Amino acid sequence: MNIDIDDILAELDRDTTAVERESSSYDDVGNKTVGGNGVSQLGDVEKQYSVQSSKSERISDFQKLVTQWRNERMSPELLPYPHELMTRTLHRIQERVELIETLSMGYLEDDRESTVDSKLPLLCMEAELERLKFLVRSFIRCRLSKIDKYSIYLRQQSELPENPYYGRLDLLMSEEEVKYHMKHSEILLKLFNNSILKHLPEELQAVNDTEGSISMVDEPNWHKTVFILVCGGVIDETGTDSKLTTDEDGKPCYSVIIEDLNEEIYLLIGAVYVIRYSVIKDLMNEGRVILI
Amino acid sequence: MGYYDIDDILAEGTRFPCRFNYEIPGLGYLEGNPGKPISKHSKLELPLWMVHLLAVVGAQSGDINDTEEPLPFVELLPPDLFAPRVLNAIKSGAASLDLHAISPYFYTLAERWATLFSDKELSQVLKDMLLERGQEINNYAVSVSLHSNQGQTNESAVFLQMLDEFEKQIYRDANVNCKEMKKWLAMK
Repeated sequence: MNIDIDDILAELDRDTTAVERESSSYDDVGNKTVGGNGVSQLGDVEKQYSVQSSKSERISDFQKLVTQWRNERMSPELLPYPHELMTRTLHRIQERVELIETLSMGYLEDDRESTVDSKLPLLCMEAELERLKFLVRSFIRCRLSKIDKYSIYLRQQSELPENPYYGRLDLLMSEEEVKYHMKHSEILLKLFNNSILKHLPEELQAVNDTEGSISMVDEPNWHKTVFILVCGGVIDETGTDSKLTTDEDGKPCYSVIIEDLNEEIYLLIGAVYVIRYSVIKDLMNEGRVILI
Repeated sequence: MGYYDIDDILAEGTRFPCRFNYEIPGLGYLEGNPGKPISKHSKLELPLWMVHLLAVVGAQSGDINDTEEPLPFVELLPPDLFAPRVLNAIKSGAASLDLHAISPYFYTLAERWATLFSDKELSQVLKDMLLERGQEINNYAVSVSLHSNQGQTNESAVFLQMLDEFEKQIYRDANVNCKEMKKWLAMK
C-alpha cells in the first residue's frame, strides 16, 4: 500500500528552504560589500539596509516593470500608469547612481595602493543601471507616442461626466505626462488654428468633430490582434483564481467570448494565442495574460 | 482608418460612376459647364468622399405628407472595380492577379463598398483573396538575402508591381522585419 506523504514532505521542505534563503541572502550582502572597501561607514550601513529590506521585492518590481513595458508596447490603448512601481524604481535608480559615485571615489583613493581590487562589481553595477534606465526610458517614450496619437480622444474621455476609467487623467498618466499632454495639444491646436483653421467657416473649425462624414477623433483600435501568453497564477480574495475553469480535457484555462462572432474560446494556461485586444483586455489588466 | 491617414484620403479621391435622381440648379460645374443646372439622369463620375454621403442622404421634398423613404440625390452605379469580370478573375487566381492595375487602393475601396451595401459576397471574396495573396506576400517577403540589391530578382520585382497599397505596406513590414532578424542573427 502506498501512503501519500507529499504534503508532509512539502511542509518539511518549506522549513528548510526558508532557512536557506535567509542565509543565502545574508551571503549576498556579504558579497556585495566586498566591492566597496573604501566606502564610508555610513554608506555601508545604508546599503546593507536597503539590500536586506527589499531584495526579493526589487526583483519582482523589475519583472513587473518588464511586463508593464511589454504590455504597453503591444497594446493599442494607453494603459494606466503604474504610479507606485515607477516611484520606487526611480528612487532606486537615484540611490544606485549615488552609490556608484561613492564607490568610484573610493577607487580613486585606493588606486595607488592596491590594484588587486577587482573592478568587476562596479562594471556590473553600471551595466545593470544602464539596462534599467533603458527600460524606463523606452517605457515612457512609448507612452508619450501614444499620448500624442490619442491626444484628442484622451481629452474627450476625461471630459465625460461619468467615466470611471478615463475620468481622472492623473490616474491614467503621471504628473509629467498630464503636463505634456496638455501643453502638447495646446501647441498643436495653436499651429492648426493659425495655419488653416481660422480661414475656414466657423462650423468647420473644430478639431474634434465626430458628426461629420468621418470622425476626427482617432480612437484606439480595440480590435487590434495581439499575441498573448496566458500565465494565470493570480490568486484573488477567494484564495484561488475565481475566473479559472477547465476545458473538456480537464486542463485549467480561462474562457472568453468573442462578441462579434459569438464564439467561446478556452485560453489554456501556458499557451500562446493571437487574439483581439478587446477580448482579453480585462484579463490583461488583472495580470492573468501578458502581451508578447 | 484614421482621419489623418494619407492613404485613406487618397483612396477616397477615387471616382465612382453615379446617376443623379434630381435636377439641381447651380451644380453644373460637376459636369464641367458651370452656371447651368445639372439635369436629371445625367451620369457623372464623382469622388468617393462626395458620393458616399450623397448616395445616402435624400432631398427634403416640399411635400410634408410625403412619408416615403426619400430618394437619395444620386444613385451609385456598379463600378468597373467590382464588376463580375473582376470578381471572377479574383476567384480563379487571386495570387496572379494584377491588383495594382485595377486600383491601387482596391482593399480600402472594396471595404467601403461592402460596408455601404452590406455586400456579403464581396466581403467573402475579399477575405479569400487576402488570405491567398497573403501567403504569396509572405513567401516573397521572407526570402530576402542580406545583400538586398542582388537579392531582388526580376520575378519578385514583377510581383511587387501587382500589389495594391495596403499589400505593399504588409510586404514592407514583413520584409523589413525579416531582414533585421537575419542581420541580427548574422552579426551576433
